[in-house]
Amino acid sequence: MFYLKEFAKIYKSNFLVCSLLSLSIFGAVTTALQKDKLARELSLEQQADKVTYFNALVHNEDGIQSIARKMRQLPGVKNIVFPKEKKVSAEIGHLKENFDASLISELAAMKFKRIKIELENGIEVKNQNLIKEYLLRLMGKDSVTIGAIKTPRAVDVSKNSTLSNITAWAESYLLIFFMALFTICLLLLRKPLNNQAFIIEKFQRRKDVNTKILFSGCAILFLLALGANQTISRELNIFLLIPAGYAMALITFLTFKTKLEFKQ
Amino acid sequence: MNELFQTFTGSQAPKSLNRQSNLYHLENISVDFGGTEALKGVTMSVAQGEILFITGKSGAGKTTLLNTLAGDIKPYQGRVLLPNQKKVFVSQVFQDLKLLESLTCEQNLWYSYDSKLYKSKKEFHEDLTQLTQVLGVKDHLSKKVSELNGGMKQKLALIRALLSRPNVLLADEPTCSLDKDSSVKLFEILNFYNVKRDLTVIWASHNRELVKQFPGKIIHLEKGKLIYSGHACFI
Repeated sequence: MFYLKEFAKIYKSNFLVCSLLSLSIFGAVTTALQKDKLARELSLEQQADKVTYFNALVHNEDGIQSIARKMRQLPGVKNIVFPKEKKVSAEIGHLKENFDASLISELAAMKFKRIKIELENGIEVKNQNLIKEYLLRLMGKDSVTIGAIKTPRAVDVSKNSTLSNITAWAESYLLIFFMALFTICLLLLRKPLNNQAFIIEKFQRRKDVNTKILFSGCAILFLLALGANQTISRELNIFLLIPAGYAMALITFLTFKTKLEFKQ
Repeated sequence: MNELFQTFTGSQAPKSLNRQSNLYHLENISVDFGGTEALKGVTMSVAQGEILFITGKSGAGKTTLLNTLAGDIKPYQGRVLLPNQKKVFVSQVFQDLKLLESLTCEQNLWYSYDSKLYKSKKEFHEDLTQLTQVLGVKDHLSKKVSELNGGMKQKLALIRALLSRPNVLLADEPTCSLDKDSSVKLFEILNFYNVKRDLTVIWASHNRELVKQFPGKIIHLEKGKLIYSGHACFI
């Protein structure tokens, strides 16, 4: 408790640096625990299309659900998706800026609905056209505009090799960034912490005060970060924290292993 | 002062050690700083409960000798016997005082509060009040250290050291910013602690005339060499 109180004093008098220290610990713990999730979210492949599909823009929404149901039953159709309204409005808004405003306003006033028809991969062109024709017949030629077929984009490694490398190792880079931030914060805290520890060691019967203060403070921040992650996602493998925790302890030890001195 | 005496007599005193035993023993030690010999073949010893003055001009080696006694400097030659740190607590008044300037005087003094030594915070506060009253620092307790003059800072540093209830006090020029009356008062307090609590005092000072007035042992250094060792009255 004594060392925690002393850490609180340090935190109060060096609020900005200690806030960054907390951020680095929270960041490192979260990155270590959510490694797989982050890798999935940040990978380049995640951003690429994975299925063959075509879009259709309809301005008569009546019976659209039953048409979608019929379309789903067609062989070669994998799924029918209705992308969010917001995205369509945003696209029309974007068009307004570039084209004749009055024409686009009329278009915008019409109730458009975008449908994404996802097809089985490897479906023949002849069958793709049959599905398109079926949709035209169901909706009526004047009510629907059909876009071109889009096949899955293979990620061009030669073009995106750097980007691909970055995204593939994103969680590791993030961890390194938080470790670097942690080290910088410790270096900035070294003087005030050592001064305080020096005075305590000289006037109270205590030893290794600086490391004890720092370890107790960081342990609390570490546990808070762990608790926060536990609240967000229930199933956590806390063993993933071992390398990050070990690295942080080692950095702390190396930063404060020098002889305790008082510097004005 | 009477009030102070009574309270201190009643409070928890440090473990008494054998008065005859040597706490420190240095034998023919030499300390070198980048080619310059700060101490040359010094032999001395300090007994438990002794008051020792180390005198000499600036650069004579007083601070180096104090730092050697504190265990902060290792001599390249000679033998050093220091007290067991687990049994003997050594407190210091540093030449540069080492006060936390951004804190108030009281906050600085509370750094000496050790829950293992004091029965309660109240007991510590009583000691703090009495010492600050005797040395005239009480009215400045709420001020920041950076607002104090040199003399006040020096008194504060000494109070901080005494509040830690040490067995040995190493004081490096504790009176250099004080007038004669304040210096005498400060010595009286240290003498009281010496008598009542068996405090060993090692006091480095460039002012030989001042320390000659006080009872105790003197060692005089010149250019790192020990010139005189004996009672102050015979120097």
